[in-house]
Amino acid sequence: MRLSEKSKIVLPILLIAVFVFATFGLIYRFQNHEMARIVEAERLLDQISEGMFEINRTIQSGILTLDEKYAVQSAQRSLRIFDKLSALENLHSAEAAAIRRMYLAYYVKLVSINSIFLEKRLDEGRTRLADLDMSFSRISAEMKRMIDLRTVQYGKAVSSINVFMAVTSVIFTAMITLIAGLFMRSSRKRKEAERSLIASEKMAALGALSAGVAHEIKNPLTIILHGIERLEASPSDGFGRQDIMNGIKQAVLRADGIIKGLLSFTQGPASGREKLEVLAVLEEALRILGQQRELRHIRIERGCLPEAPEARGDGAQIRQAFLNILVNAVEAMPGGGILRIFCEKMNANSFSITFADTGAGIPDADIGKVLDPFYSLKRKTGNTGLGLSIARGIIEGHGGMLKIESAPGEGTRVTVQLSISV
Amino acid sequence: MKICFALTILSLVIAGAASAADINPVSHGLEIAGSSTVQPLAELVGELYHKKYGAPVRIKGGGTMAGIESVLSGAADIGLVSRALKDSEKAGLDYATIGHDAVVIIVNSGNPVSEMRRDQLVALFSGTARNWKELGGRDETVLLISKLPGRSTLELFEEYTALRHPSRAGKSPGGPISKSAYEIGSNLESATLVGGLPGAVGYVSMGTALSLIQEGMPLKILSLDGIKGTRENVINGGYPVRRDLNLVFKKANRKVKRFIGIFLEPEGQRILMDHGFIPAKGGRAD
Repeated sequence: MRLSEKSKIVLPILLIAVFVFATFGLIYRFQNHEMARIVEAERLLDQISEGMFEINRTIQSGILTLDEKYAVQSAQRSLRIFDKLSALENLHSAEAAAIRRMYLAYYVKLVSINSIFLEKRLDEGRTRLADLDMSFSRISAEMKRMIDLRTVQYGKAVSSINVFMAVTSVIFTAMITLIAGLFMRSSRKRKEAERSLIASEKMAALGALSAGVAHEIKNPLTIILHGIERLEASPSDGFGRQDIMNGIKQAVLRADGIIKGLLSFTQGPASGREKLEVLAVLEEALRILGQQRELRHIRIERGCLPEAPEARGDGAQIRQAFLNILVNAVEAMPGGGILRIFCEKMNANSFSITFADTGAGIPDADIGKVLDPFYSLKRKTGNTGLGLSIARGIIEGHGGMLKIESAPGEGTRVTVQLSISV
Repeated sequence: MKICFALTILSLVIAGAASAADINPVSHGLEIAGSSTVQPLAELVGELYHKKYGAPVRIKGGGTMAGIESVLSGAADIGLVSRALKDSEKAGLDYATIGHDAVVIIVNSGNPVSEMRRDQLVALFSGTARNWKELGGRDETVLLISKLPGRSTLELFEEYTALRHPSRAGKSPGGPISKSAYEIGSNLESATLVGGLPGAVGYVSMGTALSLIQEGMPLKILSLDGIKGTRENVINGGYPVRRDLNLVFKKANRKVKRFIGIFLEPEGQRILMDHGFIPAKGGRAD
């Protein structure tokens, strides 16, 4: 089973999370359960032991004072011991049962002896007092043994948890290291893949460019070759010679145009960075457009305020970008139409100029390709397909953005977004 | 004159001897022994006696039988007997009834059981029922607190339950009291055990039990056969295990009469009532 890159990162993190939660859970359980049980058992054993001493003292003093109040106090204290024994039973039932047996025998013996003294049966009382002392020593020793055992258990528990935490820390560190290694390896692989992809895309782009250039240049070259062959076939200054020469000239000019466009496309980011009045640049582009194209059938509507923001950049390049967009729009409306140009402030740092035509629009299938070099829907009209690509290169070279939206039959909107000069 | 002097001396010697004999045939004080039920009362009455007549009073427990035997052997002037005298005993001893008492069944105050029938009591003390669950109580082992032979409390208990102490069980159709029972002597001892051991059940003098409960002993007196163990029920005869409290003696000499007199006086009867017992005169101290 192959794991995705995401899984390779997420799964180990999940594993660490589970490991950390499990570790903390175990430590929490250990501290709040095992250690708490030991501490609680030790506390109860201490209380039981102290209770037994108290009862012993109470009844011994009862022997001296011959006072019945001792009996009431003894019974009350004895019940408290049984309460503690019940609590201990929940923690260590076997030990609690053993203490209960010992304590019961001891209490019965103690009370009996005291009763003998109260009835002033002194000789019998003295004999049994010695037996009681032995019994008390035994029960005290057993209680001490149990309390000491708890102390040892507590020490072992502390050692265990220390070892556990040390091992856990090592495992945790190892897991983190492993995941960091995996992450770095994955990152390196991704970068390599990206580099490879970029390289292949560059090659593909170069291939497409070469094919485009070859295709575009081939036509004028064919015209030139064909013209020269015709001139060679009839070198005399006959009818049509001038037409052939004109055809060759047009073909040369077309090839020159293609190469110039290509140079514009391939040149780097804008070199000049002077402040530009964008509207003035736009007006200049419109003026040039008017010189190059017949615009009588096109109505141009401007929606930009005179105080439109300034941008920083190369005026000639921006003008070229605007001109390419305008030419594209005009060519999209061969039967006439409306070209709306309007500006909009996007935010404090940027503004946009939108060119919306009412032409045929771009089919959905082609919308993603219109910015590719040499892609043209108007190939038959002699369009090189570099115009919008060049415009996008210029705008992006100025840190801006060029966006195309289109609806077939309704028209196309080209939006140029530029940064405001500060 | 010499004869007169000699007679005077003789009369003095005789008077002195008689006086010494009056104070105690065994020692100079009043020797008393017997029932642990009556012992605390006798001690308080003894203090009154000492204040009034200046003679020391020595009191020992040991149980009813010890009291009877001590008087019969001459070791004591007065025996404390916490039951009615048998006909055989009446033949050799005189007695004075100083009050009445009952034997009540006690459990620890934490025990949810509050009443008991005779058959349940027999089941417990014969060892048939070993867990309080069997009597509708909680899951807890029954600890039986019984009495040593010679204690009238045991005799009354035997009479009521038809059980007998294991040493004489052959004589009873009811069978023996369980051998697992702890056997103790005094009422105080029994109450201290039942009060200090959660699963314990015992039987003691009602007077002792009431007095100790008042002092804070964690005890509970169970209703027996549906009748509560109260002084009123003992006086009206409803409570099933009641008994007389007697002082026994061989010879009603002056000091014995004086001691019995204090017991029967309002002050003595008040002591009885203060300890939860019923006075000899139908529940009234005076």
